[in-house]
Amino acid sequence: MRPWRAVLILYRREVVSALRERTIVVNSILVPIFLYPFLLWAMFTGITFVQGQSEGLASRVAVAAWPDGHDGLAREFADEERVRLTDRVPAGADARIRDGDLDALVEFLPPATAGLEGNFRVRVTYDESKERSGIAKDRVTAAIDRYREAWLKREAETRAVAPARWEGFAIERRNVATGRDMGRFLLGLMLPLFFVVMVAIGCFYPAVDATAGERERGTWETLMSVAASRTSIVTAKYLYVATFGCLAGTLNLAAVTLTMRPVLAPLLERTGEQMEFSVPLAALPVMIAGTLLLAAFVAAGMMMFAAFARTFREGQSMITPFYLLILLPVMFLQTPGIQFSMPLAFVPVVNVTMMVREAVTGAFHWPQIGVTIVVSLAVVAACVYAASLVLRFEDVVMGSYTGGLAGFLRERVLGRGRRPRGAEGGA
Amino acid sequence: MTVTPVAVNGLTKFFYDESRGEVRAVDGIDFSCRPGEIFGLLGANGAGKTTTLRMLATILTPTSGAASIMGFDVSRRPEDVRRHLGFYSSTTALYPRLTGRETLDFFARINGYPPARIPDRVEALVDRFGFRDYAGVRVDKLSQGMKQKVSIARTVAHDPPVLIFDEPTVGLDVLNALDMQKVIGELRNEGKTVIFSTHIMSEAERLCDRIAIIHHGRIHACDTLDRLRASTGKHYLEDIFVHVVERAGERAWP
Amino acid sequence: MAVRGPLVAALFRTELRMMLRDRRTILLSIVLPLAVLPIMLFASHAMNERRERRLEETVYEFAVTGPRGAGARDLLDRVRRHAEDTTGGDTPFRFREVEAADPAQALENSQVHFYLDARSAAEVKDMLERDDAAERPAARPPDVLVLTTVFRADRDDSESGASRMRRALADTRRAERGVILRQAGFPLAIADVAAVDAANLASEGQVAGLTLGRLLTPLLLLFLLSGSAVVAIDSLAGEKERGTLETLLTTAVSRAEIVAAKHLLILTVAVVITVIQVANLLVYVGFELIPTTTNFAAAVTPLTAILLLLLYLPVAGLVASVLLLVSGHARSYKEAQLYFFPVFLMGMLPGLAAMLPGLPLRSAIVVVPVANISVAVKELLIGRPDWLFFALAWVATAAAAGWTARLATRALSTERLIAPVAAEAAELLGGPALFPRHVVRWFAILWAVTLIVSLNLETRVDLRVQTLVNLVGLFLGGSILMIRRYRLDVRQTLALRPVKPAVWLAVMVGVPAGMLTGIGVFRLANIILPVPPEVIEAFSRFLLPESVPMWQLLPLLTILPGICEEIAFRGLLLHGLHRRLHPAAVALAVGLTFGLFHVSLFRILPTAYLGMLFASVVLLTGSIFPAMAWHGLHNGLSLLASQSGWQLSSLEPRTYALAAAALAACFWIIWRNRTPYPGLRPWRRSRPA
Repeated sequence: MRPWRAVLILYRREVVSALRERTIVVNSILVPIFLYPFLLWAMFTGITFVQGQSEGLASRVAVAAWPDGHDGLAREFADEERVRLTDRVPAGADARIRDGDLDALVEFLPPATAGLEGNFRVRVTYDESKERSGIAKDRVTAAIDRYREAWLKREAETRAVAPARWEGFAIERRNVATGRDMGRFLLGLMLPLFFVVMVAIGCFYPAVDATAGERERGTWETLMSVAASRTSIVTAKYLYVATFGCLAGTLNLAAVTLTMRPVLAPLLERTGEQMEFSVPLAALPVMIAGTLLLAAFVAAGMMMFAAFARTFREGQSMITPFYLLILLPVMFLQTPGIQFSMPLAFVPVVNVTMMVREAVTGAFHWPQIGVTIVVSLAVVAACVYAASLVLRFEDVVMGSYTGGLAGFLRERVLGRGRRPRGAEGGA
Repeated sequence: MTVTPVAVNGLTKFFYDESRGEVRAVDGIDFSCRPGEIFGLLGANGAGKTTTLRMLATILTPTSGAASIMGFDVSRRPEDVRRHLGFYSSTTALYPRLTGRETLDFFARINGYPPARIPDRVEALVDRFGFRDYAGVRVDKLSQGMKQKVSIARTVAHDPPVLIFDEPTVGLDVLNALDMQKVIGELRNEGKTVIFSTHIMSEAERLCDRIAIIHHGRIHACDTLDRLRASTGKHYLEDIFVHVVERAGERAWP
Repeated sequence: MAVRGPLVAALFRTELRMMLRDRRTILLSIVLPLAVLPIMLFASHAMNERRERRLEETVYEFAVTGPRGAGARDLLDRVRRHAEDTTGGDTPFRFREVEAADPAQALENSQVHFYLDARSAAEVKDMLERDDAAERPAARPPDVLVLTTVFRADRDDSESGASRMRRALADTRRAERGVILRQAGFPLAIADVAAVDAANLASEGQVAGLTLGRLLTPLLLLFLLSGSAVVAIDSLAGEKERGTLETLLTTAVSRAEIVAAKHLLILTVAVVITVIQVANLLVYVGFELIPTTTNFAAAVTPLTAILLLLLYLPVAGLVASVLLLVSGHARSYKEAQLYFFPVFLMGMLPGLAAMLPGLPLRSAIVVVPVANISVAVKELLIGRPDWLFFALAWVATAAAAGWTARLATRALSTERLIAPVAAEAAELLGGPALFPRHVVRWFAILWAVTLIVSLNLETRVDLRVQTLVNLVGLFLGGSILMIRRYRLDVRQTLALRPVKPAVWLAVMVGVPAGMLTGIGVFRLANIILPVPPEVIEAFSRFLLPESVPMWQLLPLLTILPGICEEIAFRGLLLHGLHRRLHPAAVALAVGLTFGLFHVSLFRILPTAYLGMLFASVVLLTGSIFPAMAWHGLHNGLSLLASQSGWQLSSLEPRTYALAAAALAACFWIIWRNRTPYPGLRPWRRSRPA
């Protein structure tokens, strides 16, 4: 049978089996679709709730004796509806603040420097370790600042300063980034980590299933006895794992993009920002390419690590270091303002992630993209070659090798340690 | 007065299945066993053998009826039952990361064998079953035959008077299966009560003192091999079995 | 059910020995993630540092445009001089003007970081009116120079440059005003007018304690859950798979002793993780390997560390119990892992209680396990230990741990979960027998589709189309799909049966009674744990668009849901679950699912309550018709209430109590005339051995 035909038949079987396996369907299809939108929703609902709580809480402020001649000051406080003035100053106000019964104490004292009639100094006593107290102090300070501005303006007027001179100049701000730009920016910030994690999760279970799972079920030997070559079998498995990684990554990207707006809407309503979440059409090919490359790499790596596992559990623990390894560099990418520079294009995983992120925000650095593709393909080829080296050893293929990847490297590649055992050891 | 090692009266087990509704796995079983006897439960797959034995081992609770091991009721004194019982099944596995010796020590201890005598007991078992060479090796490194030996040893580690073997030779090669049968015979000779379930006729023929034929959750015949031959007029156990089952089927249809 | 110490000890020792021999799993699943956290913290801190520094050191390039450009340049000169004056020559004025013919384009092409648009106030007003912009110009003297920083918020450096410029401008303006006042004879500097002196009663350690207190519990829960899960899943579910659990079950130890030993094992792992993690963080922070702005080490003394450990002990116990319970209900390693995921997410939630501002331990939170410890830890770290309530919190969490462990013990006696499963006939036959297994799947997909459809349709089409799509398209359509796929018998599945006449009477009473009772219960709950008023309003409120006439709204919001939603939930879903779960659990599940389909956070609970009510009616009467009627009438009543402006959420407590009594009476009538749903699980319970 021609090799590619065999690969296709084997591949189809793997995929059909996998789609009937609950764990794989959940982890490679359902989780990517639901998890991040759900997390985003939960996070933003939570933030809205907490913000609502803290803003809704009125600050309990005690004021000791208003200064003379400043009726407007009391009014400024009264206008601030989230400040509730107590009737009188309770004894032991400091202790009450520490206990959390009172949020802040405001005392009006004689000024440090004399010279201005009616001037005063304000002492605000609060406890920074209590959230409510900190908020109270901010509100009180803001009220006093507003009052001071108005006072100074009046002083300027009485001293015949022209209003225009006092105004000086006005400072305004205008953001010309469109809603779509803002949306893409936000997407670009969040996507890298999601993307890599999703592809990794998508590959994880199929990789374990294709190697340790077969051994556990006892179908490995059945598979070895079919008319296809060993290389075909391994290629089919590899393609299967990569397919699911790709699927997971794509579904996740789609899900996050589609649900971003409705999920963020309540939060954005409060800030008054307008955001649209859409991805430029030109970005789609780049994103697809990126997903393919990343899935190809992750699949190759995971399969190599899991090749030595004989049970599902072993497979899981063997893949975990690789999983953490690819996540770490991406953690570094979470901050905004990181440019897709040429050096970054040579780092696997990071380069693909940056490529996708930039595509989402509408930026295309073609030289870096080119380098990324080349480097990624090279890394995948290296992994595949390494895998084929591993598979030359009969006992690893048959599943009777009892060590792990590290042991294997030590013994076979470096030539130290135990002799290879026969097929009967530790079945 | 001696206690009846195994006494079963009207034991019933109904299961509740989502799609089929009520399923009667065991439907009123009676039998009893003497010391120094191998009592065989013979039946096809799904006949109710495994369910019955698991009820005796207190893994499952009976829907109705009573059973007692060494006088202890399975529903009311389950731990005492288990202390006097050794249960062996092809699905009861060994802990892979313990050595043979540690396994024996653990099971003796956990089943209430006097702690002071455990080390000696363990060594005695190791000698008797002949795995001194690999008693210190982890179980997951042993071959199938070696594991079997350790398994039987751990079943009798606490020297129980009653033993249950649920299809013990499933998946064993010829030599190992014969080994197993030999051991079971020896245990019977030591005065233990052995309940032995199988669907392999030749085994039942060779080993059992009495045979109960179980079908659709009921015992349709329970006697020594000779008397079964006399009552059915057949010689080979296979034929006897088919005869009994068919007769039971006729009775079931009004 | 006695638990004998020596036996538990023997079991525990063996389990521990076996676990320690699996070095690979321990290293990779427990130790490795712990080591990774500091690296991650360090990485994110390092990146942020770099970014801050970059933003500090960049010289921002800008352009100037607008009719008052010259005035702007003068101003910028003053700004630069002010900056130099205040820092003595070492210029922090990191701005450089750049020539640009088209500043907007230059900004677009990133040739400048931002640009300044200089106009007079009058010109700004004209421009806004001309562009018909929504913003109203601020009231200012018409000659005043208005300087607008135009930037792009989606670019880090643009945003940063613009905001620094604004800050520099504001500083300069303040200084200039001070000069103006001085020149006009004002006797003081501005800073001395109404000077504010903030006296902070909290020590540095306490402030640090606030931050640490908020973060410690969630982080710890993260590691506890993920680290102990490996051991927990293997210890029950893994053993089931390997067959060693059965071996253990045939020994002389009781189920409770088995669970106790495994619990001890997981607890040991959990405690070790806790200790390592706390030490980890403290070492890294204490030695400033992870530089932080606040002095965390000041917050944690050795005594505090010991107290922390004590407080977290019941949390570790509860985590161990929950993990054991999950593992006990799974039949294989993979299945347990599947369950673990949502458990993990749910488990993290209570730990976040410390982040709620103003939530003291001395409140209802003290009875909520884990959440209470989270708040207690925060209070401990800010130096306000409330010993009595600490003890209460400890006891509450420990009790929850014990109760969960008991549930786990029961799982070991549930035969369905112990015995290996043979292939079931349902899988082979397909059809109606398969439906109960797949029903959850179907509703999960339906939920997802509903979510996506409604989120995307919400703003684009009006209420009528939305409702039609949801009710007819999704619910009714989905139900029909399921019926056809599984060849279900319509009459049986949808419970289309007659009921006794008295039931209808009960429904008439129940509709208003149920509604008011629900509101009353909610208000009661509000006293203990305050809830935003939106939740209460959601009970008696309907979002009514003014543009839709009543004759259209009525059938759309009463008859249609009464039919379509009932068919889907109390028909299909209830039928699918009724054999698998205990009847009470069925009502709960159907209610909660119904609630979840109404996605907005504040409508989930009221809808779930109604769902449970309707489900109970169907279970008791074996027919869907009363529930349909109830549903439609309830919606109608709500509609009427909001149209007429009735304030149902501020009635007297007496009224709610009356309503509850009426509801009870209604259900009593139904109970007396019950024709139960066929095929329900019996109420038997088996005792664990």
